[in-house]
Amino acid sequence: MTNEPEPMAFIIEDDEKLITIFARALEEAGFKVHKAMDGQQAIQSLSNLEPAVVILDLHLPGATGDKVLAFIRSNDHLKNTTVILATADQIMADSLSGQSDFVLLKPISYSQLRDLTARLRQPQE
Amino acid sequence: MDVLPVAQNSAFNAMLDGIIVADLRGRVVEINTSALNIFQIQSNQIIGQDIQELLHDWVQWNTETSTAFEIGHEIVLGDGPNKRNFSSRIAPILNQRGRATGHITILTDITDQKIAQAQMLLQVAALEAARNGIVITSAKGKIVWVNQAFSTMTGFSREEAIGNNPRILKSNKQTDEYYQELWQTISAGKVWRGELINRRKDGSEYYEEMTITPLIEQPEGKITNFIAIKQNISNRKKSEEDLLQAHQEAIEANRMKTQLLANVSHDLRTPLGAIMGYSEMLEKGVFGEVNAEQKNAASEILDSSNQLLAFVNNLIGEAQIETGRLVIRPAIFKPAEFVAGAQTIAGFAIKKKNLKFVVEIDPDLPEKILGDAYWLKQILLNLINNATKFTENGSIKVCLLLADQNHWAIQVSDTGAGIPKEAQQMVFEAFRQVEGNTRGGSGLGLSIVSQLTTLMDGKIELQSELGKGSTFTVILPLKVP
Repeated sequence: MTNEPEPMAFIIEDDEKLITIFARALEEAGFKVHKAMDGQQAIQSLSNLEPAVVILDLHLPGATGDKVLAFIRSNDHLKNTTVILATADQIMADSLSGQSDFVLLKPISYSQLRDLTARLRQPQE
Repeated sequence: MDVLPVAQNSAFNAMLDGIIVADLRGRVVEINTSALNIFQIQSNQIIGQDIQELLHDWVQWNTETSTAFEIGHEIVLGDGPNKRNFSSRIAPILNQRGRATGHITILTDITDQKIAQAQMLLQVAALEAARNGIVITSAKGKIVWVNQAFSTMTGFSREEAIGNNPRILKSNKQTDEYYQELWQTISAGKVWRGELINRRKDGSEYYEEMTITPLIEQPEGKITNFIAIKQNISNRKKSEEDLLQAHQEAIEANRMKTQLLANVSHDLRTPLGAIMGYSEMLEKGVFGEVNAEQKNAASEILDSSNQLLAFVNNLIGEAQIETGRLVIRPAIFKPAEFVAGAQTIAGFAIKKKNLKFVVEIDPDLPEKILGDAYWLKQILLNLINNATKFTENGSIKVCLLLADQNHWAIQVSDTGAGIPKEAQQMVFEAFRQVEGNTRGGSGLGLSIVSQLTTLMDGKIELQSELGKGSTFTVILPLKVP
C-alpha cells in the first residue's frame, strides 16, 4: 500500500474555509488534493485529470455543480471517479442523487468525510 | 198535460244556481232545488215565509235593485270546511206593463273561483315579493310582466320594461355566439341557465345569474312564454374574486416562506460547516496537541453548533411538513452506524452532565434496513436531546429493537423528571411546553418526532412516571433491502 502512488481527490468548492477542512480530511485519508473554486475552471481541469474522488459543491460560480457532474458523467476517462456531493441545498442534492455516489449535506463533519474517503481507498469486495 | 210548464219546472230545478222568487212584500213564492240545498231546508219550511229568513240583508239589497236592474252581492254561508261563497243577483219580475210584481234572487256558487283568485293573488304577491328579478316574455321575447325586484335590479320601471325586449339590458360583454346559444336552447323548449354581465338603465354593469324556462302549451307543444329568473351575483362574484386573490396571495406567501427557509437553511449550513469543521479539527488535535481545557472549549463549540443545526433542521422539517413538501426517501442504512453517528453528535452534552449513555442494539435486528436515515437521525437526536435536557442524574439509554417480524423500534429512555399524565399528549404538539418546564427550548423537537413518525407510517408510544423518567418508543415498519 505504501508503495502505491497516492490517489487524487479533486475538491470543487467556492468557500475557502471549507476547502481547508475538506483538504485536511482527504489528506488524512491518504489522498493527494487538487482544488478548484469555480465550476468552469473545474471542468477545464477535469479534461486532463483523472481524480479517484471528486468532492463537489453545487452552488458554484462559473458553472454550477450539476453541470460539472454532467461533464464527469459524460466523459469516459472519468468513469471510475467517485462523486461526493457536498452541499447545503437539499432539494438540488435530491434531484442529483441518482447521478452521484454519495450525498453529504453541509455542515459536513471533518471525521465523517475523512472516514468515508478512507474507506473508498480500500479495495472493493 | 202541457209540456212547457213541466219543462220549465224541470229546468228551474235542474239549474246549478240557487233561485228564490219572492213577491213584492218579500215573501218566498218559489224556490228551486239548488237553493234548498244551499240553505239546507225543505220547501214547505220556507214557502210563504219572509225571504229575509234566508238572506238577512235582502230588503236593503232590494232597495238598491229598484234603481239598477241587477246588483251583485257576495255572501258567505256555512263555516269551517263547509264555508261557501256566493254571489247574489236580484232582478225585478216585470209584468206586461213594466211594473214589478216580485223579485227573483239568483245565488251563484263562486267558492272555487274565490279560491283560485286568492291563490293567484298570493302567487302574484309571492312573485312581487321575490328577491329574484322575474321577467315574463311572450314567445317572441317581448316583455309582458316584470316584478319589483327586476326594477330594483335593473333600474327599469315596470312601465318602461313592458313591451320592450330584454335586450335593453345587453352589455356587449358576452359574445353574439353566447346569446345565440341561449336563444337556441330556449327555442328548443329547454331550460337555459348561465351567468352574464348586464347593463342597468344608468349604464352601470352587474353580474347576473339567470334561468330561463320556456312555458309550453300542451298538447301542441307550442311555446307561449318565457320566464326568466334573475339574481344579481355581483357581490358573490366579488367575494369569489377576493377569495381567489387571497388564495393566490397565500400560495405566494407560502412559496416565499419555503424559499426563505431554504435560503436560511443554505446560508446557515455553510458557515456552520466551517465552525463545526474547524472546532472538530481543533478538538481532534489536527492542528497540533491541545490541552484538556482547549479540547473542552472546542467540544463546547461543536456541541452548540450541533444544537443550532438540530434546531434549524427542526424548523426546516416543520415548514416542509406544513407545506406537504417533506418527502421520506428510504435508502439502505446500517442501524449501528446510525446510532454511532447520533452518539458522536449528542455525546458531549451527555458527558458534561455526567450521565451514563447506554446503547443497546437488538441482535435480531437486521444489519441493514431501509429507511430515511436523514430524518431518522433527526428523530433520534430530538429524543436524545429531549432526554438530556430533562435528566440531571442517572442515564440515557438508546435501544434499537426488533419489535415484531414487521416492525422495528427506536427507544430512548431516561431517568429524568418524567412527564405528568395529563401532559403526555401535549408534548407532541408544536411549540408547546409542559407547565413548569424551566428548561426552555423551542417546543418543536417532540412535535417533529411525532410528525416524522406519522410520515414514516409509524407510531410513537410514551411511558412516563413523575420523578422516575420517561421512555419514548418510535415503532416503524421494518423493510429490509
